[in-house]
Amino acid sequence: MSDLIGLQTLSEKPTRLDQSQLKLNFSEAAVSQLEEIKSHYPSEKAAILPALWIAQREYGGFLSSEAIAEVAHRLHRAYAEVEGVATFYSMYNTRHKPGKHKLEVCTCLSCHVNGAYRILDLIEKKLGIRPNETTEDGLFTLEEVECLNACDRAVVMQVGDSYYGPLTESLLDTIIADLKSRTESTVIQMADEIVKVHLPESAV
Amino acid sequence: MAERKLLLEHSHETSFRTRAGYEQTGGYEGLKKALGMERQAIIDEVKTSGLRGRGGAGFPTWIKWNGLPKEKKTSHFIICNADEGEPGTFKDKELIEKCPFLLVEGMTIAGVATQADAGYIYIRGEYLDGARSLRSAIDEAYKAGYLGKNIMGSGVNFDLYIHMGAGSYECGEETALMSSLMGERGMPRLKFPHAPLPTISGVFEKPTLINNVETYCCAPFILKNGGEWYATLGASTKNSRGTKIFSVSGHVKKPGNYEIEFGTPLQELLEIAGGMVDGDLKFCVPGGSSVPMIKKAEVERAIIGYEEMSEVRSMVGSGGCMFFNDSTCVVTFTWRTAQFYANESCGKCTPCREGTRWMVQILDRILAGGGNPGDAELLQQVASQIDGRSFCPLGDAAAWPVAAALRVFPEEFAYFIENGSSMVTGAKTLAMAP
Amino acid sequence: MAAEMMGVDMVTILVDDIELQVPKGELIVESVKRLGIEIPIFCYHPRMKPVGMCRMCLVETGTKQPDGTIRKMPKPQASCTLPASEGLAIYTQTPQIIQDRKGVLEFLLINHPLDCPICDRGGECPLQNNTLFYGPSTSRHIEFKRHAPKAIPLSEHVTLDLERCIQCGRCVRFTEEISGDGQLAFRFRGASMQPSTFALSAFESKFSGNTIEICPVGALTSSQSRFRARPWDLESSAGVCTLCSCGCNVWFDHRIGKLVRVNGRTNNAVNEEWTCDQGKFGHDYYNHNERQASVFIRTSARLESTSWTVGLGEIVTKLKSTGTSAGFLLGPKISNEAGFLACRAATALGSRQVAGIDSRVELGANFEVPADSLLSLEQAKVIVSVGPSLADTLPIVYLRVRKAASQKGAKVISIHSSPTELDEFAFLSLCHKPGTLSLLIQGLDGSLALEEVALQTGVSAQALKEAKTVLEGQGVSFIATNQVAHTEGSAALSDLRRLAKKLEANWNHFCETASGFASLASCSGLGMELQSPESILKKCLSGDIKFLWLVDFDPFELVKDRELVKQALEEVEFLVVQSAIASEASHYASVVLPQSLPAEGGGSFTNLDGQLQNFDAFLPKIGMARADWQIFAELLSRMDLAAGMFSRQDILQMAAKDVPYFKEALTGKQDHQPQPSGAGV
Repeated sequence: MSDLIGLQTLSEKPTRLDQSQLKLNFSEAAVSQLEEIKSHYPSEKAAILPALWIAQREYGGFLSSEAIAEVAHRLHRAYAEVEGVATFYSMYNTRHKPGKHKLEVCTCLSCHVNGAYRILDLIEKKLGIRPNETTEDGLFTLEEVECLNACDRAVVMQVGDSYYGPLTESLLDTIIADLKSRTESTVIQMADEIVKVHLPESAV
Repeated sequence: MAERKLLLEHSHETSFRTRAGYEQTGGYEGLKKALGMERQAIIDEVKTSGLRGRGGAGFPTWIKWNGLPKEKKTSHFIICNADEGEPGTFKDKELIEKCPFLLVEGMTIAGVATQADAGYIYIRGEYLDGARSLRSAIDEAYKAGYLGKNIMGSGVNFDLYIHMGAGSYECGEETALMSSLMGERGMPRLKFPHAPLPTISGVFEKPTLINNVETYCCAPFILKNGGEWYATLGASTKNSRGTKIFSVSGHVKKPGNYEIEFGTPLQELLEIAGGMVDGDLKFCVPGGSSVPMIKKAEVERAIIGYEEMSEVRSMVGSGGCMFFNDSTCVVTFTWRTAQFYANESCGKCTPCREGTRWMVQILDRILAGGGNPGDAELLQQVASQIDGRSFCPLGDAAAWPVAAALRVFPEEFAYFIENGSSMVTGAKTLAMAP
Repeated sequence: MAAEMMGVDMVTILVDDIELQVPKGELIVESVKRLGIEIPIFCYHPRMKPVGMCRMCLVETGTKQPDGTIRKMPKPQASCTLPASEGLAIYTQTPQIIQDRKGVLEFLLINHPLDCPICDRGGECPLQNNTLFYGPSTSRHIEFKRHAPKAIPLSEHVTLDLERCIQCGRCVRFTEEISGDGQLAFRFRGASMQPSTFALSAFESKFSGNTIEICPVGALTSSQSRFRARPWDLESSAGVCTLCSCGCNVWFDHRIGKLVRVNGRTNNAVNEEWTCDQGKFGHDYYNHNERQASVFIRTSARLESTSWTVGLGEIVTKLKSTGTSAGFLLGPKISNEAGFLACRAATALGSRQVAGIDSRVELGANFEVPADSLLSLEQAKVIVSVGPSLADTLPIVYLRVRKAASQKGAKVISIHSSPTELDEFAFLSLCHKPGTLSLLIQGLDGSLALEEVALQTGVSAQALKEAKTVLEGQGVSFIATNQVAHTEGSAALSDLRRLAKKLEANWNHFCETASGFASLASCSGLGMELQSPESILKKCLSGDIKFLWLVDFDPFELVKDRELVKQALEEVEFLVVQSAIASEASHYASVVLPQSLPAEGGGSFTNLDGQLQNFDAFLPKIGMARADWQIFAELLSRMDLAAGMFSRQDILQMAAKDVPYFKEALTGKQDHQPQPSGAGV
């Protein structure tokens, strides 16, 4: 991880936020899903995490400031508070917009000793990117992640809602080829799957 | 001794993931029994069983169950901690994927015993297979009247919800998990004696019971077969009863989850997992990344049990048992462990936020060949400045493995610092690959 | 002990082996102060919930066993979150604790830039202080420090330097707990955690300046006073903010006769230790480049500089001929003494024409002292705030109301025609159509059917019904200002007062200006009514007033009808413009009198709940300027209308004879003493 704290470009004068200019982009289905999820908790605030998952899906896999503002607006929370929550969790994409597929390679203990950094190197060479970078065609983002807790399948990698492991070069080739052939983004699909597991069958 | 499959007995049968299949194996008998019992009798049964928390701390389960107000004045909640994040551990993953009804039934029993209105299963965001499996189990349970209003005609209401995490190891700490469940940053909250116990004021400031997946999964068996029966398992140990699932990984031939009875020698667990691959056993981290590592000699005499493991200066922990062969460089291994904790520190308290990062910096430098005399002592002191000084146990968990590595393999650190290369692999510079 | 008498459970604790009785549950970090022991802190702030984040306040603890021995706990505990319990033993000075403090400070310093030589906080910095007393003398950290962009302008007032931040969360908690605007939050985690506004947008809080003061390092600095002085070169003098009627206690920090910055000064009965941004950053007019420095007199068409003797002589001559038709417009920031003397002059001259912003004549109501004090407001069970944003008009009252609601569970009912900050935490927000307040009140007092009222005001019948039920309970306090009359008409304000009286609720019609309370009290004591500025200006047009004295009153600022002002000033025969800063009105003046500001000339000020506070001068006066009260004292002497006024005290004694309020204020509950600096706690 870079030592320099990531920040947006600094303007000389801070921009004033005009909350009345907020555009709401949640689809009708998203709004009703959020309503259902809100009913699971005694407080509206508790729906922030699931709402951020909905936003990550609705905003194409990336929680932009607009996406965060919409969540805050819908749950009647301060914008800064929701941004604080979103940036705390590593699975919300808040720092940079990911590609269509995010390859998350575990390099933690068991994976480490089983050659996770060799695998990571291999992927870097295959895709021509370094961790936290996205390929020029916008297809793949590579990330090094902490323990995915599937150490029996070390070296393991997560793409969307699926785990792959133990990774070998040939398996990697298969996965990459398969991902290239997919039309939908596994990043968005994963957010969608996460939203869905919150919802009882009766609400789907 | 060999494997003793209780929780995992039917885990490989796909029918076990359906209500009908689950019932065929005796599923929901525990809940039926519980519904016919006094609430206190359920808790007493858990007490008799000697069950202790399977998440890592090993706290007697019945004390938590018993801690919620008996006279209900407000909503009660129960939470299942399925935010499995301790490196090396993947037992909860298997349980929720393959034995979802065990958890649903176990939580329902706990809900009945504690008069809970609702239960929340907090699942780490990555565990989608498990979440989907639980989703369909919960939906089926609702349809069959095992959840919702008037469970099985008993007059008891109990709802069960899934709440997905979003990538934070810290949320496995119970108070941080509650913060996260309430829609906050996953930062730990004040604990007793600084604040009331969760059983008095927990999530949403209501009385709350929080247990690990595996702990809840034991409840159906305890209720079905009786606490006394459960307590016969592991009777050879001082104070550990029942079975425990160990996630075995590292340099072993057959990595995976293995359920054993307490009292089983650690060496046997290694044999169950097929023994070492490529070379000899060098050290073992028996209970997840935060517990102190032990050498081969200790592995050979260690008996699995909460008190027994402390005799070899380690712990049962979460059951994430990793064996490493003699090709493993301890310095590199420690560096990767330290990096995990630095990346997962929530930032709330000074020692953990600053100390974990500093330890990584020192290890970075040593691995890059820039070690200075005194670095080992410095590392040890930084670790001790975190240990016991941080807000929550994550700080301790970050300090212990570093301190243990320095204690168990001082010569490897000394060699790396002096020569700028690994004593084991000979690798120079930032040797990431073992 | 007082606490015992009030029925608080007391427990015995041991602090460094000394037995101590403290209220059960008191935080240990506070308990040890009773013994004069200091525990170093960063994140702990007595007015906010303790969080135990920084770990600076670690102590060793133990419990007393039945056999009298102490069983020590293995881990040290944060004393800022540890409540006192029977038999608790605390150790604050053990070798282990001394070592732990060194450890925490070493950690805090490894990523701190140590740019103390150019840091505004240097010299008054808790991080520096704690390092001096408790820190390690050297650092063992030889790695790269964490870097972040420096000097991020968060707003026009606040500049953020992230490198200096020690992540104590005081600023974040302030915006959550005290100001309630939630403008700041921590984002990212671990070593990258940083306080920030949403997407680094403007920090739009009405109380943002407080975060600068409570920051224990120089991470949040004042854009206004940044790099303008070293703290140790500044002299701090106790003062009172006169920008509104709250009467906040502040420190004026000045250097070589120039005001550099304003900080909150602790007074629990007024502002606790907070300031609003207006008060904290709004005092730059002291350094205005058009400060009035000499007396001017109009000769033919232009103003010429002259002496006080000539200037005042001219005024006296004129007053002798036109005194019965003399009018006085009292400015919002003048001292009690000046206000009283002006009223006294008006009565002595026989004109009785005095006006001020806080006038109540048009409202059909006489002056009455508000039923609540700022302190008692906190105890109210129900607070009804009526009118536009309380956070704008009376910021400190707003903070009290918020505290009552968030910490003591008061139910706030906010009645207004456009949303205000109160809505965020109000129990009920009754947002009515403009101009329908009177109708709404009739609904609340039962004289109109709720459905009818709902239809006309746009407030739901359900909400009205709920409000009605709440209002029937005990402990109800109403808060209103003249703003209600300005927006809804004076009849609405009278209706509101009648409703409060009918409900036997506390009625608080607060003044908005620093001079309001005393001017109203003086007028009523002298048997006059404080008029509105408009009515006096109209009398200038009609010729009833021939002589007009603007007592630090800028009509072009304060009166909406600009045409009326222009015509009146042109029409009036003789115009005295007494002001601190040259204003447009000077162009019409017959005589211009340079007036000093409170920090230069002193004065007493009465705030909205009637507390009289002295403000002694400490800055040099500009040029020929004199204090507002000195000008009137001399005038009255010269006209033989009063004598023996050599000091402010003399004037107040005289006021006490005529005005019951002053009599009470001088003999009864009185004037506080400035406490030692609370800044940097």
